[in-house]
Amino acid sequence: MSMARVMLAIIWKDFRLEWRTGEVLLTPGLLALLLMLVFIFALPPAAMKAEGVFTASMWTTLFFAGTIGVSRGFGRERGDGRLAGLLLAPVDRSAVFLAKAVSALLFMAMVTAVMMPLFFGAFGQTLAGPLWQWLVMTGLVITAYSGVGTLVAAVAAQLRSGEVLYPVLLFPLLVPIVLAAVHLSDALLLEGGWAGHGGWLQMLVLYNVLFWGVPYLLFEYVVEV
Amino acid sequence: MTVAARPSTQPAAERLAALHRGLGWLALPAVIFALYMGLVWAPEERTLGVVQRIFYFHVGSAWNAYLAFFIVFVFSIAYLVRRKDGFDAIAVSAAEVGIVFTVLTLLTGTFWARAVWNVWWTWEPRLTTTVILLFMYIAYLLIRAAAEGSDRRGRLASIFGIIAFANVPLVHFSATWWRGMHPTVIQLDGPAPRLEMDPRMITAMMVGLAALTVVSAYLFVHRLRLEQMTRRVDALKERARLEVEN
Amino acid sequence: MSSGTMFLFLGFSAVWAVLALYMWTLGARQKRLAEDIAMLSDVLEEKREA
Repeated sequence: MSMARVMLAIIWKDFRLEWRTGEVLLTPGLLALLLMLVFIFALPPAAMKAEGVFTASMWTTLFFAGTIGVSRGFGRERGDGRLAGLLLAPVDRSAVFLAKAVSALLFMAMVTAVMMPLFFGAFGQTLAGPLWQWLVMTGLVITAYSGVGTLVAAVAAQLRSGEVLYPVLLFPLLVPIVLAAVHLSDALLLEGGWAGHGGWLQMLVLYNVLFWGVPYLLFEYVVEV
Repeated sequence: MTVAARPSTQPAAERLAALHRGLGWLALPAVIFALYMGLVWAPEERTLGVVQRIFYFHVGSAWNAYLAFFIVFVFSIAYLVRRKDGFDAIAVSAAEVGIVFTVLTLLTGTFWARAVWNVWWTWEPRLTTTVILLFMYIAYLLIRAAAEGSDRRGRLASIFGIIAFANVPLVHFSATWWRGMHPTVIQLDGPAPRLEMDPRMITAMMVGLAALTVVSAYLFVHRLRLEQMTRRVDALKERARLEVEN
Repeated sequence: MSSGTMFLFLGFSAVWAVLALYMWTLGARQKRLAEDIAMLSDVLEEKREA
């Protein structure tokens, strides 16, 4: 089977399994909503409009809620040895990584699509810059998040109390993305465009290349049985 | 020679022990010399005064931390390719020593911040990067603690050792641009260039760096010996288990 | 100026304390491992003789 067909098969399998239970969006979505509420309750009203607070709250919420969905990419498999089953199939290991990472990306895209407008509404913010720039930036951020998140999920799935360790392992690696997301979001909201912030965009692209490329190359080592 | 000792490990263990002792004899005078150079010989900095002297050990600490994590990176790759236990032992030893020197970098950096900017902490690019570095390599050790079986442990830790190091330049650049500094590829950041670096200060700094490198090598070899002993204990336990079954 | 000297002294003390603490832990672990090796070697020797 070609790599693309294998990937699509795995993505479709995960998709059908998830939609049957509906958990894929429900739990992380609820968590995201609750985190947003916590921020709204915890922040003094004046602070909500203060520079940088909106983007910090929004991205924190998305990154935390995202850990639940992305880590399930492998969490689901570990139960009755289905990870082993998946790997016994004659597929390129890298295809498995790509499939899981793309699934994670689809998941993040769905959560983000729902939560971002809600955040804008709840914080009373409007987008000054062009929408396409906001979408490109968001796309780069959640793609980067999905890549590194999937790799770390594959590692954590093989550890004792991996679900607990997952955020601890992931967040130091996320720092560049967090900084880039908040910085570019603020630029788009306050300055009306990302001109002059090309360095951050370049770094986001570089991060994506690195954290999709390296796992792609090394994945056969990650999931050795 | 005891019954349980495997002939092939004895000379290696003895060489390591000799290296350990040798480095110990070298480290002590090196540190004393470096202290003299930094605290007495180097000229006092005009504006900052005597507290600036912590700088002579700050650079050396940071250098050794990064060197250690580079070693983790290299030997993580080597382990994935060759699967020699020795490579994994080197990686974990380097990681632990690297964490110690990261803590030292943070400590000296904090006192440095107090000297230069009059605050105990600042989100200055290098301090920020060093904090993230600390968390990444603690994560490395957590993975090793939580993995079952030496194969899994070595493999997963190596994967993380590789991506953690790849993350370092990204964190460094992000932290540098974070607080509004102009993004350029080559960064002359921090207070060092702003000081008038008298050549005697540079000398004292290099001596401090060399001394700390000897110290880190000494700690590394000690830790490597411990790793060797741990693996020997595991091997002995395995043999004892087999004996019981027979 | 004297507060500067105190900060310097504290800084060096902190560095020394961290290094000393780490070396102490290495020594303690080494002692325990050596005991384990000796104990296991004895156990295996006894089994050999038995």
